[in-house]
Amino acid sequence: MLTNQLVYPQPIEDAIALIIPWLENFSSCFTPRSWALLLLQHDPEAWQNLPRSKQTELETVINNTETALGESITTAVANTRQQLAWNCEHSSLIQGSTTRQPISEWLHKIVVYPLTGFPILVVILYFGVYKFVGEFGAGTLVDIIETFFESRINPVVNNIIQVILPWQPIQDLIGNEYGIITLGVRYAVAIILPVVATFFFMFSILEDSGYLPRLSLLMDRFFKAIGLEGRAVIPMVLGLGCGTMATLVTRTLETKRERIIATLLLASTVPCAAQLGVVLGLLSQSGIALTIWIGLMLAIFIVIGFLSNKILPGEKPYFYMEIPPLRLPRLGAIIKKTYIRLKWYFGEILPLFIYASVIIWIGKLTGIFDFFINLLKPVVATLGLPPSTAQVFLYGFFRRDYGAAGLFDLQQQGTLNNHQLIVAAITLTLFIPCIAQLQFMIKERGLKVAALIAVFVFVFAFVMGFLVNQSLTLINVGG
Amino acid sequence: MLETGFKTLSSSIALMHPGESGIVTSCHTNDRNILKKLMAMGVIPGISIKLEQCFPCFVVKAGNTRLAFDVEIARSIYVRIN
Repeated sequence: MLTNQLVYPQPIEDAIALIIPWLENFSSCFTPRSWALLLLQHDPEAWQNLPRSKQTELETVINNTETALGESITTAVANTRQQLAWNCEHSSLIQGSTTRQPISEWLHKIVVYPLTGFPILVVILYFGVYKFVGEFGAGTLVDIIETFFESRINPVVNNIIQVILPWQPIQDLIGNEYGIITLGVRYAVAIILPVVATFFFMFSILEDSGYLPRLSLLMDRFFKAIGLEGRAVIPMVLGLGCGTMATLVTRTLETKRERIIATLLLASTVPCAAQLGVVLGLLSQSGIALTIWIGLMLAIFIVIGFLSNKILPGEKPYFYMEIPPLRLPRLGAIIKKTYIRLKWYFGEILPLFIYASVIIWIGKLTGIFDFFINLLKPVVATLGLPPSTAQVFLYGFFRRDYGAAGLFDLQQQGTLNNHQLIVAAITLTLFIPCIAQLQFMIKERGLKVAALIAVFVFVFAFVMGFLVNQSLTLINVGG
Repeated sequence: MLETGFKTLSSSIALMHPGESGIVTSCHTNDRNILKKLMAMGVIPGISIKLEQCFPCFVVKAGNTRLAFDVEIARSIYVRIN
């Protein structure tokens, strides 16, 4: 129970006293006083619950109150509340007498000042994403865990099933080339886990240090051009980790229009950590290939955003945000956050990886898969890719990162040249979102919008792949 | 009286220079939501603010709170410059 209930200016208190009797028949978790205050401040939800006859009467009450106050009720209410907050602050806060500015103030200035802020952003992206997630996570860690799986776990599993399971198809379900353990669990633990873990770790550092709101204010102008506002930086950066989680986070955006644009961008151009790690790993030997990929993805991101900003109806968004002080993140909190996110992520994807293994097993066994792969082969051939990539794209249906991991396998066998790698990487990045992301798109945006986005992304990915292949052949880069 | 020259007394935040400070006199906007958001963040008439930066976004310090907003919102907040 609040002991010091706020007392508003007399005209408002009179109006509240007048309205409370109307609300007797209301059943609600709010007190009548809160309802009355919401009604006086034109809260749309509170108004909906009021009978029409009372609405006109309320309008008169509001007008009279505002005339008596000399300002809008909303302002008066905010003022009274702010005053209480200030009083609390004054009675409990001791202002230090130091005139020297703390180092965080200085850091804040160089982070948000455009001339220094953008280079800092590039440095953070280079070390945080490229070096830490791309090279350390997707390179070093993946290598270590992969080698461990290949040399220690897979042979053991294969030997055991050889002995205890007599029938070849059942053996294939658990082990061998596409088994639940040898493929599903291996992809999840050896390729996805290190990439996503390093990404979430970095994201938690950015989050806890207070850098993200500053990134929002730096990027607001750019995001306005593509119909979003600075706030959208958070789902976009999160999308570099996991598109599924990012699609969920788009609900923090203010308007429906922004949410649709953000979902579309996440579904098409923004690569998730698994894809990013694998693509960076694949293309890192060739500077030109990597530059082409980054340049094209950025260009497509801007063009899609710019066009949807022009095409989609609705109001342009506003940007406003509170900027918290910069703080040194606490390692304990960061590890805990990373752990919780990873747990959620793994709970979500491990079953899907196992299903995917089972579906691949069924598909292989019944020949349905070969049928689909044969269907995809001419499509893949138009992109100038070897037939074995058809399989990778088909797996990409089940999970984008699953497909990306398959591409990694192909590259290590040396089946793809640079030219084909670029085409495959671009098509796979643009390609339809993984099953989990699609589920969340349907849940958040509704079936119609989600289906439209999915179809657009699917067609667009292959058209882009085709165009990139043609132009690369024409200028003969990296071939 | 003619020698005293002109001094801008009241202007919207969008026309202020970085480093200037003043007291918020009013918020003019047709969008009730913006008004509510501004108030929730503590931008209400009578509060003293300092403009820190105006590109790429407007950054304002009000008491111990720091806020960022775009030009559209900056245009709607009127300030009596100190």
